[in-house]
Amino acid sequence: MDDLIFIVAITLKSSPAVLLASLGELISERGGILNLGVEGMMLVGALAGFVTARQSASLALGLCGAMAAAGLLALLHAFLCVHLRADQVISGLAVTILGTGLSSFLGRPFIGQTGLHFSSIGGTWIDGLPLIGPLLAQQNLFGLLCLAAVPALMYLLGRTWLGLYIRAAGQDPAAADAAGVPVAAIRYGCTLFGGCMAGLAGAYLSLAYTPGWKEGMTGGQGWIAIAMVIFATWHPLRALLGALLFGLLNALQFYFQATGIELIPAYILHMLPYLLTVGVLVLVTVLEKPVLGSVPGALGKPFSREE
Amino acid sequence: MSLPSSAPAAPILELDGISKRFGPVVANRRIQLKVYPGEIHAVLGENGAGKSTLMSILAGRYRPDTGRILLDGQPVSFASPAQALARGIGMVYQRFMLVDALSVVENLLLGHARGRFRLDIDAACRKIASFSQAYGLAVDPRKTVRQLSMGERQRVEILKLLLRQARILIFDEPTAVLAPPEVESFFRVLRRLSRKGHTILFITHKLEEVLQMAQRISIMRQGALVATLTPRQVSSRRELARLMVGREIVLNVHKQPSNAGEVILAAEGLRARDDTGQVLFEDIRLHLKKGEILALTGVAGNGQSPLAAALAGMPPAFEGRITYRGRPFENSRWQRRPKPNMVYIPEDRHTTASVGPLSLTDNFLLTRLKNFRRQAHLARGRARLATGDILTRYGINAPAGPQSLARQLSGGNLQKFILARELDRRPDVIIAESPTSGLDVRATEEIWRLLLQQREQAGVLLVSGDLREVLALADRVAVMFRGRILATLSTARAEQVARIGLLMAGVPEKANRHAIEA
Amino acid sequence: MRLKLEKKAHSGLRIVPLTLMIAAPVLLAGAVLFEAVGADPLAAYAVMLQGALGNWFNCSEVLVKAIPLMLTGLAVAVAARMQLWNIGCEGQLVCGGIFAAGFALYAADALPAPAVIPILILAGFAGGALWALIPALLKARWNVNEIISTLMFNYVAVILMQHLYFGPWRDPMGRGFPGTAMFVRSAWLPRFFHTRIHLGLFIALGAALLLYYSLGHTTWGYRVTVIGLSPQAARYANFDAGRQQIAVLLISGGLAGLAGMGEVCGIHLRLQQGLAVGYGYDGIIVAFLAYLNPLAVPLVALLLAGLIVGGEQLQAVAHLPASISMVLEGCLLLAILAATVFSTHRLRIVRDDEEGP
Repeated sequence: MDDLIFIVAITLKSSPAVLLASLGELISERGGILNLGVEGMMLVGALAGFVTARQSASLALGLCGAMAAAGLLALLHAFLCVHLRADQVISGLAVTILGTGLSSFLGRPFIGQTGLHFSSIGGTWIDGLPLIGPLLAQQNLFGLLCLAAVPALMYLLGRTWLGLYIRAAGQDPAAADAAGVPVAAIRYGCTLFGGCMAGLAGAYLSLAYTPGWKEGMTGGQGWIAIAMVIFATWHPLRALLGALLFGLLNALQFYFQATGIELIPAYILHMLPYLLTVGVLVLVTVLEKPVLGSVPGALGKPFSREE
Repeated sequence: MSLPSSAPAAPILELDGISKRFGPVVANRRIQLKVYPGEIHAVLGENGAGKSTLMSILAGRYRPDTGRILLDGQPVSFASPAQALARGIGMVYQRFMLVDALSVVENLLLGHARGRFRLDIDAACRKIASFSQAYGLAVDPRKTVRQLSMGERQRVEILKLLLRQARILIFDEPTAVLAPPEVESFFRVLRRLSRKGHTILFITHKLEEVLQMAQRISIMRQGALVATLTPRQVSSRRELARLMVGREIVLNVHKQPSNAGEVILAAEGLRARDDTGQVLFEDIRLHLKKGEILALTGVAGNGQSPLAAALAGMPPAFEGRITYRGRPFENSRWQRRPKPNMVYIPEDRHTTASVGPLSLTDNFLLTRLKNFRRQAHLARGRARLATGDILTRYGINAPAGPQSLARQLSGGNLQKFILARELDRRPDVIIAESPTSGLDVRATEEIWRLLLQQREQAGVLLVSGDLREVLALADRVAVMFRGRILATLSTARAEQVARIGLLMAGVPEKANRHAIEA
Repeated sequence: MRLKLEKKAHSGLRIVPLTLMIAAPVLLAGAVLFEAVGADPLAAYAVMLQGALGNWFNCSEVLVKAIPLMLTGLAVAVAARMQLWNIGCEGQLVCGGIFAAGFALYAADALPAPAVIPILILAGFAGGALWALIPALLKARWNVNEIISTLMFNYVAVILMQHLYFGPWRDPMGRGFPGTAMFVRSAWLPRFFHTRIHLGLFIALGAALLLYYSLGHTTWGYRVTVIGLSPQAARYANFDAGRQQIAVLLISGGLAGLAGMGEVCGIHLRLQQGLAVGYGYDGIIVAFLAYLNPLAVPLVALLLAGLIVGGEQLQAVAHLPASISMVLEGCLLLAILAATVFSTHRLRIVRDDEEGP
């Protein structure tokens, strides 16, 4: 029983970064813009969040800083993709390279420094709750709040004007434009949102999960988030499932380490998140008939009214 | 419903000296046109006559270089379609502007950014239902657009305009994608709209429609408006056609009676499904003889295209048997087999039959690679000479000869190039899919001539939904509906020709069921 | 008001304004960063330039760095010719290194010396190709997104390599040094001119020539081009796109593997930390800066190598992080992307009541 709680608690704790980043990417892609810069934006967000929180002594400002820094990179990507109609794959890769370099260059003085971080909510009345008490005790406020983004985005996409506009802009920008949808503005907005979410995801790592700044601390979670959007077939609820799956793998790794059980050699365990991401990708591509209506039809294609 | 000529009403819309050029091309030249409230006004002209540009100017998509638009006597200028729509002018384009993945109601809600954040689907559905009722535009608002027929999609487009209070409705080739009965019901809707006081403008090149529907007819030629008439003023179709083309219409290519030889390609019990398991075609039995043109016709989307592709050895995979020169083949062997004497002209000439960013030489190599190689080395020099040769022989106009990029060619020249490349192989079977769609009269004529010439030494399977083309070229016509061939008829017999329209709409009369294998 | 992209009347790729358009924003971005960390931008750039071109040895180091960049650049370019995104060069490079190291450690001394180098080259190529095989099969068979699959395999390859040199392959005499033992002499790639320039340079240049010829002047290259430009046309012409996808990705992986082999057997002479330093990702930049032209790849690789060597010198001399070169690379790629658009188009602010055809 304790083992189970341990695994579930770690799962919950290690999934929010992937969740936030993939939800952001999901909205960006629903609007028609493929953003392969998530990894770079997460790194920049992680650094900016950590540094801002540390200098301003405010976690809230830290989160704002993370969103602002990653958001700027997202605007750059949006400008190239929306206005210049540049290749979205190359632009995204360039943003990842730039973000990785920037965070490494500017972050060097902060390696090994300590700063503010979100502490777990344990040690209060929460511990006493039956069953979920010990589970919740290890979580932090930030991570738990992330879960609220899932229903919020489901509501946004399915039941609001804005959601309808986003879906239309990603499915058929020409038709949406003809109907009066401001396609360029929607796509900017979606990309910016995706960037801010990636920034928050990075901040979760540097302010909550493993407090502090470390070069390349995302370890490919940005890429995993992109894969999870495909796994999620562009539905927020399934993105949550994907993120939890990633968290579970992480938790198992900890569990085996902590208990000293070596069913699988450690290095194979380290590889598992990456291998299973590919596996999951294969699974959805092979098994699922294309889910019409949710796959953004115009994903990755630039739109211009003239052509 | 009074004729505008006798009506004292002031024009609702007046175009005064409208001109528009795109670079060196003059699309509209000093157009004068008056449109009266409640009339059904046809704009007739060939491809490239400037009708679509003129209507797009009215709908706010383009701005005129010179001239004025008067709406209710007041000069107006539109910067965007939205502004035109705000003043009550809306247009239904030939390519529908609907988001296929969204439902009807969602499409109708798009662009209505009003007040509240939340979507009220139910209220919108109720509103749509009341409009549908009033205008006889039946459509289920909760269905996804992708599930709708072309006729239903057109109704959604009309609803979209009506919901935004459009008074003047412009249609661009509205019947091009409709089956004959759908055309009838579309015309009923037009009359109803007109009775309710809406003004209708429709672009077309079909003379019959104009004479059947229009209260006034404006004819355009080479960017200019050459005449505006009432149907009573039109003495004959021939005259109308002459006004439209500017010379005696020559689309009557002279077809000798066919001299059919042995069966060269035959299919037995062919069927195929798409990825989602939907039947594309089934129960197909046909044969093609040397020396004849067999047309495969039907309204778009009834299985002709996939059947043509399968016969040509491309996906989809089929069950059943194809017999070529007396030898039977199953699917996999047929697809793998090289077919040096069989050519396929797909409908999509821009990305399937040619590669836009490559030179004509490289495009020539697309199907001729085997003849121009030394082991792995590409003999591009020789290919360039061969390409230059067919350019001259077939009179293809290419700006830089064999070096020209395929995308620099006009549609007609590109199609001629593709045909030339394939005919140069001296084929015995030609499968040509909508070979003249989107081409002007002159190019159409040339393509038709080429195909008719081929009848001497090959069997031609012509896939076309254009009845004019089918009747001009084919010796026999197989009509397809929902993936099946309903009947195969002879074009030499008038009583059989008369049935083609009904068969295309899927109305199998008893007599047709037992149609003669001509 | 809105921004609108318009085609220019006279679109020409004039080299001088284009270079300026690319270089200026990149240098400016770097200057801002140097200011931000309190360094004098001009001095910093001077150190980088000096570091890259200051003397014969530094120049030779640029050539040394250019070797893996040429190979990964070619790897990315050949795949991109077919619209395939091989982001997995890093992993393929590592795997090529692992294969070469395995052979050098455990088989090389049993073979006659002249046979060793050719087999090493084959092993490096095979290692890289093998690492690309799974993504290639997944792409060809089920159209699984190759960007993600090749990228995920990068992480796997690095973990595998670390496991090897920390674990089973670790040098027993190394006193905890994270690396294998040094290879036997016969497994060292020959070096030239008393520098670290090794045989890999000629392999890379040969590969560039070979790719140039085969992409432009063989039936294979023709097929690859058509498949890349229009899959429908390829199907129409009866070209087997799946098989070519696999072939191209294997070649791409193999080239990246050669880069790893060159690093391991030409520079490190053992498998150790410092093999996965981002040459795979740099290859993406090289390929696109070269507009996917194999003959342009070596030149662009030199440019980028200069940037990297300059960055390393900056770290050694001025104690500024070498990752400045990565920042500049990212900016460079973005600038290229924008410049490509601006060479044929211009951006104009239009009022809402204006329109364009």
